[in-house]
Amino acid sequence: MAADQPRGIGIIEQDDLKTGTQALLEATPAAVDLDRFKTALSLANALGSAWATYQLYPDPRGRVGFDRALQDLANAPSIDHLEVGPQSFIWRGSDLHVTHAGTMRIVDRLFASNVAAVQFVSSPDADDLLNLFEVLRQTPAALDEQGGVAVSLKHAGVHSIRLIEMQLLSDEEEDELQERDLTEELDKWEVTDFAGDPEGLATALLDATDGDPSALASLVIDTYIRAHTTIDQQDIWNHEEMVHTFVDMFFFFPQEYQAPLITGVLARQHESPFRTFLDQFASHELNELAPFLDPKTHPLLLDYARIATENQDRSREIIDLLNEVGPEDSVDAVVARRIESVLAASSGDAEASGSLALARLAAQRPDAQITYAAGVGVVGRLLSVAESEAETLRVLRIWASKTAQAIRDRDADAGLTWLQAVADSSSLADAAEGPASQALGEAIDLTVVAELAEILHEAPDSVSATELLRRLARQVTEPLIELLGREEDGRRRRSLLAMVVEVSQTNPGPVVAYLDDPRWYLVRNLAFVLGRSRHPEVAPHVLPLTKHLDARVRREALRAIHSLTRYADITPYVDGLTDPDESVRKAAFTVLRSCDDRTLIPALESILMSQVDTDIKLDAIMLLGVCLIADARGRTPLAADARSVLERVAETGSGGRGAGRTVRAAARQAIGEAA
Amino acid sequence: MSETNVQTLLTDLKRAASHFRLYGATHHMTEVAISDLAAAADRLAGTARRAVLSLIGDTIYLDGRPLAATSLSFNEMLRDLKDHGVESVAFEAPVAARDCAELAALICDQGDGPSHGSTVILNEDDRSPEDVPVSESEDVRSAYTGSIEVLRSIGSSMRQGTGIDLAQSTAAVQGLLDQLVSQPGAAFLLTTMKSHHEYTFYHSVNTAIHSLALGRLAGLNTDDQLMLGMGALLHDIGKIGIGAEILGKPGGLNPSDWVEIKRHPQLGGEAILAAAKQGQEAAAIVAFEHHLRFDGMGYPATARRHLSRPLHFFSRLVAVTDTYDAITTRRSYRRAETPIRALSVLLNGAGTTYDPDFVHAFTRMLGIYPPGTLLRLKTGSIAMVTHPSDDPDTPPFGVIVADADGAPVPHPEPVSLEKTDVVDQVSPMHTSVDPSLLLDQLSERELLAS
Repeated sequence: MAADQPRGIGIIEQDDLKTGTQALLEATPAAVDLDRFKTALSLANALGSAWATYQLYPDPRGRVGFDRALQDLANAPSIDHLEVGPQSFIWRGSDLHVTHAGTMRIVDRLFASNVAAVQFVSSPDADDLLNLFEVLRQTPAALDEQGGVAVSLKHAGVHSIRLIEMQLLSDEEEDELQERDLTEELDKWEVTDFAGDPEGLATALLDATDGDPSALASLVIDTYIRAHTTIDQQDIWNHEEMVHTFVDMFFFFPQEYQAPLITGVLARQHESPFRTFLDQFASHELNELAPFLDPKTHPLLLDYARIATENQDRSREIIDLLNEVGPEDSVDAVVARRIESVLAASSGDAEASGSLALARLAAQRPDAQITYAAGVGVVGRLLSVAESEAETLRVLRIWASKTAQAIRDRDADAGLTWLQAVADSSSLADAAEGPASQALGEAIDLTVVAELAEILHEAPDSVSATELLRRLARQVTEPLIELLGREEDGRRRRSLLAMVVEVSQTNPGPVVAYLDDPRWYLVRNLAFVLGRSRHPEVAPHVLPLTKHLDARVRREALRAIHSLTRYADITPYVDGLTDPDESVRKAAFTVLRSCDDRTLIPALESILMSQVDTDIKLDAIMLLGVCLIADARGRTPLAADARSVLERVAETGSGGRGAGRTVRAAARQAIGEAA
Repeated sequence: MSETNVQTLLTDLKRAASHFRLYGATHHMTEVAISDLAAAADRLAGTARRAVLSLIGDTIYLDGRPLAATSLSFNEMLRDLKDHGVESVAFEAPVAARDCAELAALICDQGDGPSHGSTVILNEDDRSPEDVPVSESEDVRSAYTGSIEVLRSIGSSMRQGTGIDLAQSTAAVQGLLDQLVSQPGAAFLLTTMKSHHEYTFYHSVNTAIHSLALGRLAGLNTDDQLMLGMGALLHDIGKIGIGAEILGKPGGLNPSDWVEIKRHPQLGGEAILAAAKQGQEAAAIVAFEHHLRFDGMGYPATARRHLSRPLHFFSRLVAVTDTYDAITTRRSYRRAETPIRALSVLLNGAGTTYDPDFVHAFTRMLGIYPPGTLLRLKTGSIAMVTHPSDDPDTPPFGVIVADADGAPVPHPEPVSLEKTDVVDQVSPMHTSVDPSLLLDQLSERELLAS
């Protein structure tokens, strides 16, 4: 477009859109004028500066950055137009490499708004520029609704500038574009475009204040507060990015701008946003700033450092350095000297301190077993810090599964180490014993118990495995009984029986529960187990077994009852004397041989008077005889009663059938032997 | 320059995908991000009007040229793309925003990628690993990124509430240890890698490298080194269970935030313990104890009473390396300190917060100018220390990274850093140095010697 182009609105109609840019380019003289190129460059910068100022101030008019840009834009018609390139504006095919971050931002915005080129019909005034920016702030969807960005600008009443749009998308593509939502983000943080671009923000703010340090400090503080108040504090990512952008921006300012700004921040350090701002600084950065602060501000920095140190947010070193380091010192040099002095103090020689330390550490190198035990011990420590029942249960489940896994791996030592990590933990509250046992119960299944049994079968003397068995009695008893019931190999069965005996001493309950099992051999074994359980309270459960269909069970039951209750009630034994099975009778007889209960004599007499086999009566006679003999040895008070019964039997009638005679003879013999 | 363009493009792609996920395709913010992405793709295509990014192994290639630094810095994006079946991406200028949007949609699981005839073409390049040059720093980068990857995977499992698998972490630690032995210069240089977005992961890998180095110095055998490395790598894993709204706070934490933060040692200890195979339990000790102080204070507070026995060797060691890396890294609430200031913090806490022997040994290991330290020299140029000196009388090694005007030097030169040549330290926040780029520009020999 030549300079004699009529001024005024110059909207290119829709039909012309595809060729608008091309037409502009064709109209451009071929020769590149250096002065005009510089003007183009200044225009690009001016647009960027104005855009940046506009983003910082609700009304940028009167702001240095904006007003200066407006002055530069007075020359715009001589340039005619600027194309929107990928990174910057393009003038006559040449990229305008500008340094102003705002320029790149407005280029991005123009690009996003479908603008191919900006044409300057005449010199824009402040309203034109602001209206242009208002249009650019709108979303592409909003612009489309108004007929595109060019039409929107026209409707905004801008005559000095016109926007050339890029080729429209195809109808199909347009259809795919859905309703666009005007971003809340722009409302939230007006400088959102600077998020993550601290250098750009610094440049924009410097431009906006025309290099006035105190104005810059005020603007930064105002902008920072504005950003703070508009961002939802729960929106952590945006909040963090905003704070980081502002703090990082600080370091893009020349030093002469930093002092007034940090002074303003320190003065408001008790306000949360500014405390956050100061907290972001590394300690060395605060220390390095200190020499440049005026005497009134330095105490404010010390105040901040004291509070931060008291709150343990920072090392006390920051205070020491604030007091020690003067403008002529390098903070790092002072720190280096301090480090050397600390090292020297430990050994008399800074260089030697490391060697001495290494020598001491060499003597502390960890033993693998100790490390393993300590690692396992973490479980007890986790329980000690668990704050809820759920947490406790979670840790207990881990512990139980570890214990089980070690057993599965046939590592009894490891299994016991794991088990003891909780069982021996003083931190394990009584209340946790229930859950602990429950967790073990879930983890110690039949396969685990089978492995434990296998360990003990192969190494019956294994201390760890035996201890595991004992400590896991509650969990292993039932599976062991199952294994016992299934085992066909006699040697293994005996091994299992020994294990069940061991655990029944802690936990006879599951054994009792199996007493009505249909497998007689299992019941017999369990009777044997209970007899060795040392739990007399289980005797009533064993008693019915003396009536079991299988004689082997009855015999074992008699023995078990005797083991458990001795002669508290001799009825089962006396009944056993009349059992149809000889082995049961023998068992009963054996038990009663040592009996000194007075009820024994009448019970035996009752048998003698009853209609039972002669062999049974002879057993009764023998038992009475034992009582007499035992009396002779001074062990039983039953002799008189026994003698009396024997004498009665011996004298009962004469002649008679052979059985009666045999009994009488036996009675007499018993009396005689005792004598 | 073209590598910078690739980094810009990948940054824009990440942002576009993030906006796409957060706001949806038609949101203004998304559209702006997509426009930026298209512009970045155009710039990358440059005058050739076409550029091809190939993703082979752990490396990103631009038109067949390996980009080591970018591969390291953008490993997460590389992984994201590969996870979505992308092996190569060709951009043909002028790149259409719509095609870029489809690419962004693909990596946030909201589309199938650019369609046929697009200006963004997927998987057209069929180069295999044998067809491309191998970068000298490939192994050390792989060890580093592999460790990050392992942590990501563990983090992901923890976030999903599923059990974590520690099998890979053993291999990762072994990889780091191997590189520490074979390429100590490169490994130390990589400890200056930082990531704000993935702070915990990068911090953990850096801590692991420093811990392994200190453990070796302290004479640990290989098994112990591996256990120590595992503990260091996983020491902060409990932070995965802490809400981002707390970890990301730019300001001070309130008491309830602190209560939450202080749970991470037990959360980590618990997760590790649950997953640990026999011999891996030591990692749980480190995770649980790394905030318990040498003097018995610290947290978990209720665990203090257990300190009738001293903290484990590994925990005391990692407490030092953890603090060092944390202080020299930018966190949500504080900018990074200089390495020397971090050492100073450790020394001030020696005997109370930290085991003094480990602090002194660590200081000896790193020297007064630890790797990553930026020094302004008398010439005005800025040097970065790349490797400490083992001998107190020998100065550390470094490379010139910026000239007297502060401009980055295109080809960093190794230099011996005499104390007398050093004017001052420069904050890492003030001078942008990409350690992964340096790694690509310098050989191991150059990192260790001038």
